Amino acid sequence: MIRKFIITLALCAVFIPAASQAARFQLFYSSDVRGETEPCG
Amino acid sequence: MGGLSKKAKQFELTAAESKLPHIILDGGALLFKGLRLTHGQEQDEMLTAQAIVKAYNLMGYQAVGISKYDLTAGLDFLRQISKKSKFSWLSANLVTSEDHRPVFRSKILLSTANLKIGITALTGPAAAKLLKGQALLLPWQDSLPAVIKDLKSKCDMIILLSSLPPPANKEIARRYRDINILIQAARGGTNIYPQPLANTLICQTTKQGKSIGIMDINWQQSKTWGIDKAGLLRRDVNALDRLNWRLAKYNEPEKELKNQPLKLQIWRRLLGRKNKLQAEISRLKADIKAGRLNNRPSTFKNNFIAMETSLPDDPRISRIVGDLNKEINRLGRLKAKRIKAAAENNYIGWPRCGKCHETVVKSWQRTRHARAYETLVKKNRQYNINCLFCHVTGIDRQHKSTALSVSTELREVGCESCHGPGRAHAANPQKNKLISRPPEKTCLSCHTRAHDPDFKYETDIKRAHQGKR
Repeated sequence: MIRKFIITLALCAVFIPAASQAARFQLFYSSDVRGETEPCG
Repeated sequence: MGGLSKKAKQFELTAAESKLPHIILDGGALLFKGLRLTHGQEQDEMLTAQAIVKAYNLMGYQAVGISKYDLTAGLDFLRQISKKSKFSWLSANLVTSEDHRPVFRSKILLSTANLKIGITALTGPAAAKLLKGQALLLPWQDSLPAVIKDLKSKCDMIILLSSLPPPANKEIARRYRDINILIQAARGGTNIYPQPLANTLICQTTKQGKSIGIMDINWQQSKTWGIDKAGLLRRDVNALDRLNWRLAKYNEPEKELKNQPLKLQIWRRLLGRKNKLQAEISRLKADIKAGRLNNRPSTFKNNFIAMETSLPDDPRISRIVGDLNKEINRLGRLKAKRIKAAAENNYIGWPRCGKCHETVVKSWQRTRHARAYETLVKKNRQYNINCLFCHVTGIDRQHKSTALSVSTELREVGCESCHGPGRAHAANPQKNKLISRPPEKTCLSCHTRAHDPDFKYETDIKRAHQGKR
């Protein structure tokens, strides 16, 4: 039981900092969605 | 509006393909085309704004910056709209007159990919006129510092949505290295590929929602975009060496170059550059000494997707747009009953033209001009004043609303749309001649770049007469 706990702690120590150091994600963005159209008519 | 369903589908497909977490933001200028509601079309324009918000809710937008084009129908309208929005309307400098508290939210925190991302927004100064004393618009210099200070302590990354003019955005980027991305909502802009200015990527998509930006970000603890500081230091030190060598040519330049003003001016400019370089070198050395080496810079890839007609639609958004078109059409139909078609007086319609010009009218009947009204009926837009004007005959610009009640023979883009009103000509053809070849500007009033980018006057006018267009 203690061994399992130690292994879990060790794994957390390795992976948690790694995860907080780099992160990959996507930003979807837009602007001026309406925009003036050319005068028509 | 038509692009919204395509945009939604692209977001969905891109997210499914990459399997990465994502956030969706809009810089602003979302709701209205102009700064005033168009007379007679106020209800249509407000319904359109509401439909856009419904679509944005479904698309999963998380925040939108407030621009002057979102305040066209007034602050109260935006307040109402914001209550129905599942995303946050942001502005750090739109504040109450009494105690200068933000009218909407000044910032939000988003969590994605183990990151805390702070989002804030600035409204451009021209919005002040639209507030009518109901609120104040502070200069960004007064409102941004506190927001950035707060976000900096809580976030791994800061994104600013800004409808300020581009030069102000550049100044902000230079001053606030903690703002990592700035989404600019400058009207009439084009797609701007994000490039770091100081430590801020300034980006923008083209007008009318014709493109979306997809940025794939690999964010490192350095919180700095791919800049090699050691390399920059080497570059600046070398540049300083060369500069010192040039400056050392004179012991007392002010005296030695007294009679050579041009050379003295150059020498002074070089001296100014030397001071700037020295300051930059000190900053880089301090960064490197403090361990801000940026050995693992953050990186990004950006892609713009143009909303072409061939792209698939999201049926949920198509339904919203379809329902909006039906409602605007219904309202137009009600108005049509009240409008007297005064413009018809001088126009007689294509069946009457055909009595003398049978061959030409038969040829015209093969063209798309002859089905112009029908295309609107199919799209439920035959009572939409914005569309109708270019799909019927004999309506001048000042009396656009009369198009709502034109008689059957004036529906379609008939002979008189190009050749002018024919009543007098029909009564006395010898005396009253029509325009035989319409000038280009007549065609361009409807065949605008936005609606018909491939239109070519010389070739298309021939094709129209041959019944091929």
